[in-house]
Amino acid sequence: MTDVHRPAPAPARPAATREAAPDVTLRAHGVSLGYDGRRVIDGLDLELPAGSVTAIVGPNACGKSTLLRGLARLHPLDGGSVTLGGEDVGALSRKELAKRVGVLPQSSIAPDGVRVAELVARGRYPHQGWFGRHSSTDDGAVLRALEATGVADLADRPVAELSGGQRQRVWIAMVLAQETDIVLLDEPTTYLDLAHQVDLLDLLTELNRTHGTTVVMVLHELNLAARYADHLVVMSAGQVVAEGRPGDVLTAASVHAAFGLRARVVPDPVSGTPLVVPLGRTHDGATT
Amino acid sequence: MSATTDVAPRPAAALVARRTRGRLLVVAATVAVLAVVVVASLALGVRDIDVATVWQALTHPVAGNVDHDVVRDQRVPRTLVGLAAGTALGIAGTLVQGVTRNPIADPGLLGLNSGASLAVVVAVSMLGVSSPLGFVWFAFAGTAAAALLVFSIGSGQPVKLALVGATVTALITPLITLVLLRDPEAFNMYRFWAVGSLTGRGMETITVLWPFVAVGVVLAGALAHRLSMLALGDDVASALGQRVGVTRGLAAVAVILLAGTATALAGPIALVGLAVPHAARRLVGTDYRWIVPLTAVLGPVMLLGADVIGRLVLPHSELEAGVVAAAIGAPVLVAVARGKTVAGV
Repeated sequence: MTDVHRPAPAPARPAATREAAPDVTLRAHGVSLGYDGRRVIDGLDLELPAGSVTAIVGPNACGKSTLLRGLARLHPLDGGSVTLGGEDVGALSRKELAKRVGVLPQSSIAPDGVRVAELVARGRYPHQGWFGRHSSTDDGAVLRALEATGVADLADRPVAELSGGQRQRVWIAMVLAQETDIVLLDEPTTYLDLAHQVDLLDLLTELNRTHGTTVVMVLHELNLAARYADHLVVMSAGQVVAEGRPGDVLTAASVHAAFGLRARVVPDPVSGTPLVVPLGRTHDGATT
Repeated sequence: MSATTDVAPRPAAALVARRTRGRLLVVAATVAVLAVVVVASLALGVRDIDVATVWQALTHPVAGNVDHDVVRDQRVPRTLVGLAAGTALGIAGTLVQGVTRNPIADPGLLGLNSGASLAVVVAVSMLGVSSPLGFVWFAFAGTAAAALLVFSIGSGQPVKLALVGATVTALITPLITLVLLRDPEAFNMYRFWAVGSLTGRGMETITVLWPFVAVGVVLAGALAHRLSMLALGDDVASALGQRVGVTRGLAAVAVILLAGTATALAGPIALVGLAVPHAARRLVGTDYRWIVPLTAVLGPVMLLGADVIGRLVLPHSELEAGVVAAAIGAPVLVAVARGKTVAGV
């Protein structure tokens, strides 16, 4: 393992950091998902490239969170299958899956009084037996996760006393303590202000660049998704309307198709990635 | 990891070690308190017996010695009932709060006590059962029936469980009243069971029932680590590789065994199952691997302690353990509620 204290923004994934990294390409094959018989997603095919940061965007209720839950086996599939590196996810035991795929759902609860190190240590659950005996391997994983997310100094603090941004880092540390090669995150930036959103996405990018962790996240904020994702998936009404590099995918046409929103797409002056500038009824873009 | 890890201070490991020491101290102190309570329970009462005589009664009983007979025939069974019922109530409350993630949940909230009460009322009024050992099986069956009903309709969802439990209680309570109003004799018998008491249950009752408590305790111990994950939410627990349905199902079995036995032994005692888990969380934090063992000790401290206090407050008479436990439990809960933060589940 390389040093995690100073995450070097190495552009390429250092292949030597993982011994024979398993293939973590996540694929949906004709996946159907729904709630109480109401179909949200019908026969969807999707491939999430290993080693990249993928963002899934789309309007409210387009099924993006449901898709992520289906991929993570938090929601039962009505049809189709999900494979991880070619292996059927449904055939794995839950614990086996948790050793390979880390998931941060939206509905996480930090029990009152739980301390940072304790919460992060619970990420070791899939690697432990019934009584959860803590091994030195667990200690190492917890420490690495605390340091990678920059919350090692907070280890002794109750989670409830932290700011929203710190708390979200702690949850990500818990997922990292699972030591999986792929992590799925459901709207990890919700409730964070812009500065903390950027901070969190930087953190996830660093994890991807330094550890080669495959990151798949559902995001609400289009422009941040375009800036941080290597691979962008745009969904609408349970279907993928566009996917690929953000520069190719995010156009005025795709934004209109997915969100029903007229917008101008210009290059982000900082990163060069597409920047969606919405038009509206009161601003039609005539006076630029 | 590079050398940095080995050289740098290890805040996480140090924290865990420090907290472990503190928690061990808490558990040890609670065990010591329980030992004192047990001795007091054997020695104190309407007839005070000194500790040396108690010891003699246990080791070299003399036939015809009144003190020895009181200790062996009354105080020992009473103490064992308090230990078993207290442990069962403490752990059952912890399990119910854990699986429902509801800080006000206890076996009573889930309708288990009313199920037991209805079964006892029916047994007394319609089937003519009158011995405590006869009540036991009905109380047990009533608890199990209510639990099966509530857990199957509530399908493991915390809010649904509480709602169904409250509904079952609301349905059953007037039924109990209806039967009792028409049968004063049954009412007379029922009220002594319903007040929650450790007396009148002989050795045979405890001999029959202790294996249920033992199985429940072992099951709860095995579930403790899973409950810590469940506390983070169903999704997080599933994502960490837990089959939450299995956890809930096994917890339901343990709750039926523990709450059923406790109710059968001591009647429907309310506040122990509610207050003990809160006190335990206050003392050892949020890790159920510590909470469960501590509630196993704190439960009998509270129930048996209440029983001992009940023997002392009135001259020449006694207050039932259920009454005193409620009087003690309420301030405990108020103290928890007034604390900096309510230790949620």
